[in-house]
Amino acid sequence: MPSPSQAPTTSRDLRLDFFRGLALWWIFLNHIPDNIFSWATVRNYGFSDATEIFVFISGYAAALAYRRPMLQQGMVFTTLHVWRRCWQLYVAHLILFLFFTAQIAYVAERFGNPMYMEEMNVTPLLDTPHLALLDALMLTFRPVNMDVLPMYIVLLLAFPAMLWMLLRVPVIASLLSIGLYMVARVFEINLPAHPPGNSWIFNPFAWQLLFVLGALLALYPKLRNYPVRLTPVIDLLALAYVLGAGFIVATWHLPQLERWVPENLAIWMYPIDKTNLDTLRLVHFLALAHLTLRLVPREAGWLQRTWVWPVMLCGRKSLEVFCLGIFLSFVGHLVLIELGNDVWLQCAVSGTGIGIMASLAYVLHWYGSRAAAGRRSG
Amino acid sequence: MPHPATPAPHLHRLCTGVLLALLPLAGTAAAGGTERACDVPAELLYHNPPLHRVHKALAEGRLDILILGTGSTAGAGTSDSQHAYPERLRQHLADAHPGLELHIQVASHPGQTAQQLQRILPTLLRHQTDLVIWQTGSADAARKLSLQSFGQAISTGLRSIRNRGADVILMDMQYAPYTLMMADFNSYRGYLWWKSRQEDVGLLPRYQIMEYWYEQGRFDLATDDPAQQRANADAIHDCLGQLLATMTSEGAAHAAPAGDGAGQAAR
Repeated sequence: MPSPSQAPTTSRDLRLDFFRGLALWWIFLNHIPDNIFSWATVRNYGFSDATEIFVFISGYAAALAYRRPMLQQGMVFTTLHVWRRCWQLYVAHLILFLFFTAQIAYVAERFGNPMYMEEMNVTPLLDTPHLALLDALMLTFRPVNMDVLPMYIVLLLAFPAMLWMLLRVPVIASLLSIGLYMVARVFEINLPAHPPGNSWIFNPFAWQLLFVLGALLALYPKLRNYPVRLTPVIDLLALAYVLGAGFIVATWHLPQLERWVPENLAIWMYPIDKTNLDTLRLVHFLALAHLTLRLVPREAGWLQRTWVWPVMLCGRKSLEVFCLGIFLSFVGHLVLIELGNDVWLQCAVSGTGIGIMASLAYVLHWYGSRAAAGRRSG
Repeated sequence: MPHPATPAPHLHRLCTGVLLALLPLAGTAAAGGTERACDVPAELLYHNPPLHRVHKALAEGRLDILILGTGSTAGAGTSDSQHAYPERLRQHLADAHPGLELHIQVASHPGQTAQQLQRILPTLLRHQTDLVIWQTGSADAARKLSLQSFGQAISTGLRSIRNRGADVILMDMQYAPYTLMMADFNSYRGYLWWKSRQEDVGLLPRYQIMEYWYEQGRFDLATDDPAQQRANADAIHDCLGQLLATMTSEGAAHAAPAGDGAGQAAR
């Protein structure tokens, strides 16, 4: 087996792979309810969570990946290229839907308890499977935890046009993106979902801003070079915001702290809306990203170390690992229900899940580099 | 999800030992005194603002309660409506206040959202209604309605109850180990929890309480045996009735002016 360190080229920003991999691990941990290890994730210490990291880095990576085809092979080719990726994501989503269906059917069959009529009645799946199937194909049926991929698909579908504009008229493209975000937030414009009258958990019209922001920073890295004398000010503001958000989130878990939150602030703040990417979340992510980039320079030595490779490889094979993670969180949840939910079992489930995700990433990486070597020599 | 959440289960687990040592458990939820199976840690019920109207009514020897909710209010899963929490509440209140002239009106609308219940609320409220117990959140979470519209529905409902001069206790959804697989209840109950603080009304955090009982091994909520499911439902509804009776009595007691004076109650 080749050592993984042969593969990466030094020109690649390893922070992208690392933090995307970390986000995938966190999404997996957060998707297992009542898992003590979700305390190790960013969600419990601030407004934003791993979804923001994933969407932002996905935008960044998409811009890096499709910039050259767009400049060299043109719009039509690149559009087809991106849409092929959309098709892969769509297929992945449908496979996950199949697994989810099986899981729900199992749970309903096994625990059909009349006490939980309302709680169990959430899924039209078992009452009207033919309609649910149609909704799944149209991305309007979104079972729990299966909301990120449909948003990602929609964002990528529109990405060729956005990339084209970002490369030619970046100012107009950015203003369009910000405008769409504001319109979507103010007028609550969203895509429809099942049952009728509902809308998507992640509003693509709002979340596109983060995706575009990632792409913009990838295409114009100089945007991050603010005047040197402003740097300490921005550092301080970001730090203050992250600490403040951390305190607010702490009051959700420790009601004793609640009285330190001014009533008017609370009324203004709540609810902090995930569907439409609340501004508080967006700013929290930006502050967090700023601090992270200040603390972890591109050439940071530890990014090259062997022990970060499990995370790194997961970030690099993000689609496969993401889907596997969603599936594993279903399985992990079932295991905890069936075998009892103690801390050691949570530990085993979380560790095994992450181990399987890293193993898949390694196998794909190994296979991919072998296949590439084969193509070069043959 | 970003929202004020009720104390998280893990933290709760970690802290319970400490809290149990620090806080006197007695008197938190032991209305009957004997049925320790219903006990819950004090911090789960600590937000129970004064119920002025109830205090006044109890002083006059009568109480008129409207219970508004969805399937569980009709006693879904219990042996019969005699075992559902509204009927158990009646029993526990009658035990705690002998001779009380008690009228309980139950409006159960399975599968209805807070928005739908809020609309019919004004038609159900009567001049005599002293206390409204509003069980809500399950259908909203199940149908993934927006948190904003959920919160607005709660606020509007609370306003119409207040306009009629009645007191309110809210109750959130039920817990089962597998409910989170079906819907994200945490954001809704977190938001309901915050709403109850903001509006300063009592909240029975049924979800957390049932989760606590489950973790304590008092009820096997993951059982697939129908007989045991029914027995669990009966026992849980009895406990809920008991806890609601405790909240009602304690809320009324909080409303009593220092010294005494049922006659000079706040309304």
